[in-house]
Amino acid sequence: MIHRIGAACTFAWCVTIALGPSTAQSAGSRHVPPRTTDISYYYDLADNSVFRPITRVTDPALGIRKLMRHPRQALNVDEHDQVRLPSTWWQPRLGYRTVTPQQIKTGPGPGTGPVAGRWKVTRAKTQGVTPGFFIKDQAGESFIIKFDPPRQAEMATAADVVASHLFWAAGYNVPDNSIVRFQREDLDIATDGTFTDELGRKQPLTQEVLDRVLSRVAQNVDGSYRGMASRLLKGKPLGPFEYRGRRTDDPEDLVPHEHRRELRGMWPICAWVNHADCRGPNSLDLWVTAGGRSFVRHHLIDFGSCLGSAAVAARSPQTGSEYFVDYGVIARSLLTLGLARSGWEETVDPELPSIGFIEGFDFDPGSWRPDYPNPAFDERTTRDIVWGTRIVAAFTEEHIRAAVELAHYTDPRATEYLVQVLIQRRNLLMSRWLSTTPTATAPFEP
Amino acid sequence: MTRNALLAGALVGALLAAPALGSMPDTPVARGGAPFIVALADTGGAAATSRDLGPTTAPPWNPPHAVPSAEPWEQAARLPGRVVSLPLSLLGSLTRHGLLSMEEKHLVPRTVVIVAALPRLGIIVTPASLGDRTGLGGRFGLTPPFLKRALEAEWSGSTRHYSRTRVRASQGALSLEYGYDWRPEERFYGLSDGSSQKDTASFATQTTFVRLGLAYRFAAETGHVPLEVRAWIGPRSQVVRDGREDHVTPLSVGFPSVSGGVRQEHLVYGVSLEADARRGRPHWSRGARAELSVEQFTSPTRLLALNDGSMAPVQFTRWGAKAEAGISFWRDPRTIRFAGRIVNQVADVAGQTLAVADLAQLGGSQGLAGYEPGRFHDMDLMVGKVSYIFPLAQHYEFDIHAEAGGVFETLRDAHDATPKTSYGVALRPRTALAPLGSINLDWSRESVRFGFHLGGVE
Ligand SMILES: Nc1ncnc2c1ncn2[C@@H]1O[C@H](COP(=O)(O)OP(=O)(O)OP(=O)(O)O)[C@@H](O)[C@H]1O
Ligand SMILES: [Mg+2]
Repeated sequence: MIHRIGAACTFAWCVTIALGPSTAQSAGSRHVPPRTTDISYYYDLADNSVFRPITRVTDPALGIRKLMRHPRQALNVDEHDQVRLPSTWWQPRLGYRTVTPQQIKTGPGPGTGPVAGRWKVTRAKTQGVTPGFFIKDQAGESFIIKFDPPRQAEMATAADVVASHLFWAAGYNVPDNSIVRFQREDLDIATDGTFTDELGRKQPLTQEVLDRVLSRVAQNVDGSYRGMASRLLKGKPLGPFEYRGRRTDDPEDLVPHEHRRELRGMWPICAWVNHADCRGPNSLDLWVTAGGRSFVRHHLIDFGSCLGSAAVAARSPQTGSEYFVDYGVIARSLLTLGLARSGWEETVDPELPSIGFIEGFDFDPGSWRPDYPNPAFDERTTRDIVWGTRIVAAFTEEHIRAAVELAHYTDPRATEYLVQVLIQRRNLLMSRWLSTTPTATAPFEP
Repeated sequence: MTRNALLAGALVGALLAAPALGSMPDTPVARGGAPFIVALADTGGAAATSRDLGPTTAPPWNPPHAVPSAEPWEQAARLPGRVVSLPLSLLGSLTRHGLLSMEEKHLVPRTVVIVAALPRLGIIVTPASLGDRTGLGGRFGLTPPFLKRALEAEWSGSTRHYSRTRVRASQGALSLEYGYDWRPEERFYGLSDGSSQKDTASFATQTTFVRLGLAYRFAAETGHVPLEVRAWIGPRSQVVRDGREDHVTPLSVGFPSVSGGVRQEHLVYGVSLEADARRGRPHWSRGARAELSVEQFTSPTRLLALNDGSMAPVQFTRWGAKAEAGISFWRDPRTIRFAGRIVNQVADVAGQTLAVADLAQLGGSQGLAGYEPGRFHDMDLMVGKVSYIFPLAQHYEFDIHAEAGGVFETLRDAHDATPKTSYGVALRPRTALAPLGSINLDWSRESVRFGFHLGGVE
């Protein structure tokens, strides 16, 4: 039996290869990159917290679908409910291929960080909540360096590295993030170095500016600094993608993002690693030239607010159980006069500053939610969730440990805690979602 | 390569091939037949090469044509709503572009930087706290940094022309303060609980004072309730005039017997004792606070008088007692608070009435919030409040409260009086550390009042 399936599959494979990319748009013919776009942070927050929820509750079409229990399923799946490949959003990795713990450690590769030696700082970011700068190492490679808040040493940098590698193993395109340690003396200022000052003006970069950036971040006891180095993605940045709609000027972007399996099905993965900051502005499309053609590749970036980290502080225990503005929770509290106790009120803070706040006992795998609604997650159906949960299920303890070890926590309890929490959360997701058979008429999950 | 690895490879190939073979994107899953390779691949399969795991460069699968976000019937169902909400969509689109260009110009960080830099220069700009019915107001403060906070000056003004000026010099426990208040549109409805809402009169007060103060805080050692004693003395000059509100009866017409007109000069001195043992975040949720005060208003010597007003003012003593206590339960605190306030004013010559502005008053934020500010005036007052504050969600909490109380010629009358009651709710946006403000709705038998505060919420 297996042999026969195998033979059939091999045949199918040969056919595909022989026919070549028979897909409708072989966009290799197009050489112009799509327009660069940008998302307003405030508008994204307001739109997803206020305007879109209102539109959804007043949407008759959605009401009919709910009534008929007939949600719109992802549009880019095949008869096995799998993502139609190839995809510029997602690559089958864990759950589809063998990925060794060592390969998780390498991630998108090379995973080595900047080469040791002097770094040239080309650009500093003093404004905004998280300070950081861009460097060029002696091999000429560019990186963005981000830091930890002084009270939560190791937390944000660890989250960025661990989660990016987990997302890579889950199949997504992410930058090559690693923990680095450097001394203040290792930093030179590039001759054309700039920084944007507090008033938004571009100024030449100086040593004082660098000192100011470093004065706001956690420092090691020996005077060195710990940072997270994110290798700049190759290609022309086109700005973030949105979790809905399409880039209409990209001929390879024909499926509305909110109906893409890779994006809807990311929900359980985000729930698993508590990626509550999963929103449009934390993505990046790049115009890459590879394999003899130029095209748009879609990346997830910025995992500094994952796991127990909210980048500038620890996650609040409400993270994952409430949106910033959560009408459901507000209505329930109003109706019960606050006497219905929220699950997060029972949680126990691990009190590990390098972890922040994440836990595995009160994690609700059925209703986890990001900081504010994500359009693709809002469209998710049981089938999307099952797809993503199967990927989560493919992570073994060794895989998880390999990723967590990349955090280089000084406190071994932090490593152990995070590994255990991720195992626990994985198990909860599995028992919630993998016991049911996915069906086409699955009820709407929120 | 082992045979298993080949098999695994073949299955992976099948997956890759599927998109080319399948045509219907909406095909439901084959029951029980969904391929899931991890089990196979994990049983002895060799590791995929990093090339296999890298992102593809092949042209992606795509449907023959771009797929619309909604199906035709969905679009049809949404059409009426679309049409109705067209103006809103336009507004949204404008907002979107506006916000984006605002962000590109770094407007918010710029403002934050400027506002954050101001206190360092000794400049403070905040909303004014001039009281109810004063309109929109702002407060501008100045504390020259080179004087190390020894000198503070502030000015508040509002759209209803209320204004307030303070200049304060302090050295340790001692302080010297100058103050000026102009309140042009105050309301008076007559004395006692029995006054009628229809008898509205408008008055204005102008107050100037100079005050020498002494404040001492007993060290808040662990386990001890922080205790603060204050004492003050200084001249005050006050005049009550007809109000500046159009279409409202002036005080001298509505209530000729209580109307002022004469400037009264007082020498004011008093002491207060306050114990505050409230704790909790984001709002105080446990503990109590109590304050007792007595203040004497006497005639000043000519030397101390600020103006040449009446040197024979109504002399009186004002006793005040205030207390509040709270209990709370659960992690995100649900808090029940009790608060009470009593004012007892005694004129030196029995039967003399104080100037309207010196009377005890209820209504608005003074107590009984469901009534108009200044709705009740008399010599004494007694008011109590019970509130229940509970969390709504991470960034909001809700306050339900009830108040009862009244104003009296003497507190002894309180026995026989039926208390006035007022009820209200408030939505309080909050951070993990403190409430940021509140939006209030209060009601009583007479009126419904809506209001909001920025800051100043406990
Ligand atoms: N690896 C990378 N390759 C290319 N660009 C990157 C990379 N990492 C970050 N960037 C760019 O830098 C910007 C800031 O990065 P990131 O989102 O990680 O930091 P942040 O602290 O959230 O800053 P911000 O508040 O500006 O988003 C991103 O918007 C992105 O354009
Ligand atoms: Mg970001």
